[in-house]
Amino acid sequence: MNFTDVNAAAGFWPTQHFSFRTVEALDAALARAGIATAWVSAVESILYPFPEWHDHRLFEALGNFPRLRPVRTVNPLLANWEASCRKDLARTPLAALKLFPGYHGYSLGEPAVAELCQFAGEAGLPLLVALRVNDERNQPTCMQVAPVPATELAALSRAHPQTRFIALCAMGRELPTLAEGGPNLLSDISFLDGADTLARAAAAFPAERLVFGSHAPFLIPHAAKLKVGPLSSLPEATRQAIACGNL
Amino acid sequence: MNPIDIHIHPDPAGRPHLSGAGMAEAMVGLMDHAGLAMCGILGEVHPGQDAASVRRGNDYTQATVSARPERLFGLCFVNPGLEANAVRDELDQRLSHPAFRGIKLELDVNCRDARLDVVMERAIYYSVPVLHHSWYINLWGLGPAAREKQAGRSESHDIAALARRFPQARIIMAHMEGSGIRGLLDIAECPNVWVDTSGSLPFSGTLEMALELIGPERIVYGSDLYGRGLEGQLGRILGTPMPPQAREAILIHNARSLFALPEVPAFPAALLL
Repeated sequence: MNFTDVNAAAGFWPTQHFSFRTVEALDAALARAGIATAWVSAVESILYPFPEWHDHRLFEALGNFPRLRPVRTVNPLLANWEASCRKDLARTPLAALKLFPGYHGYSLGEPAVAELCQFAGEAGLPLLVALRVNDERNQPTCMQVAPVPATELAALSRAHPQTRFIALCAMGRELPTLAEGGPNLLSDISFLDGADTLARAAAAFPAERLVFGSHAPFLIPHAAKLKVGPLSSLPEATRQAIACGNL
Repeated sequence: MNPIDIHIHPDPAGRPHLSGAGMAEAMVGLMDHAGLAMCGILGEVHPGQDAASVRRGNDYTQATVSARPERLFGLCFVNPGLEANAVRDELDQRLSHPAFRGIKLELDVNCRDARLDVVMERAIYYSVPVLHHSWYINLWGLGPAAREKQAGRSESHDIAALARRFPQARIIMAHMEGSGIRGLLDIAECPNVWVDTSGSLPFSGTLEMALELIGPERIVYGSDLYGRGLEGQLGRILGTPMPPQAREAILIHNARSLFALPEVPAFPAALLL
């Protein structure tokens, strides 16, 4: 089975002891899990006020790893986001743009987000929207970040039908809300859980809009691979589509 | 390799039509599919149950395990907030039955409370381990009802205090991921505390830290099925770098030793590879 991982990252996170702490180690872990292609952003860009600084250093490092495709982290509140993205598009084969509204402090209803959606749609780049990066129950006391409301993302997808959105790290309870978004709204499987994980998810959200995401290095990629494996009661063709065909 | 999963809630509320025997067949079917050798059944553990509700839950566990005792084993749930004689009677009745090989405690009473004494004394008397819920949980995201449910919760420093109070008892602290690195540090110096690997999603690094801080001999695989999935919970262990002997200890040998479980003939488990 071929896997394309839409939710991977590389770098350092101050409150978690990652198992895979370098690009090389991440690449090796993804290879061991059988993942052929992964879309990778810089972990540091979630917290750092100037994301492109870490992004560009990551992109240089990714040049040695054909499995890993670069993803730009964008904060639409920054004055230079559009000019910076245009420059990167001209020189880097970006796989997608990634948003962290909870960490960068904005709602998906803000005008700057609408401009970004328009930009991404015209550039043909999917917008990856991280609803969270960790389990709110376990966040450190000094860094408690609420999840992005699934209702906002569903509404955004309906308002921008020409742009493709992928919800990252959605929990199973949020899938019915995301299902109310447009057909251009997909969800990754990284935070889905429960007995027969994917069959349960497919009962709440169209299976043809589920895509493979590991959320490595926050989560262990092998666990995501097992969700799509034959332990699932979903037909093989459906699982293969989730692994890479639905993109 | 056929793992032993010590932490399974069989979810009778989700399948009310199933008798204990029916649940046992459903569970063993899943175990055969997934390659699991044995599973520990915890029964109905929500907080605030009265004596009758506790009895009904343990009746169901007993019926489930008794239908397939070669693959299932039970943990007797009690609410230490109930009258001490009722707690003792329930424990004596269940732990003298072969279906039960352990005790499960959840959120009812913080484990520093003296009301746990009767439970721990019976655990020592019957030489069975106590699987105790533990989590350093953030309350900020919880609504009033969920906060109320957490009022009697225990954190891992409480588990450590319990372990020091009863050094002859064997305690399994549930939810490694919920207690995190701080929790591992809390119990690291308590040789009578093991940790089960369940809790939240398979975040990387926590199990590696557990291997470093307490060693593979004190880590036991548990999934928290059906609320959690086997895929993610087994993936946590199969996807964490460690020597093969350590993985086998976590997935098989430690549970067999703690619960005095019989050998199960090996069968193919290719789905998990």
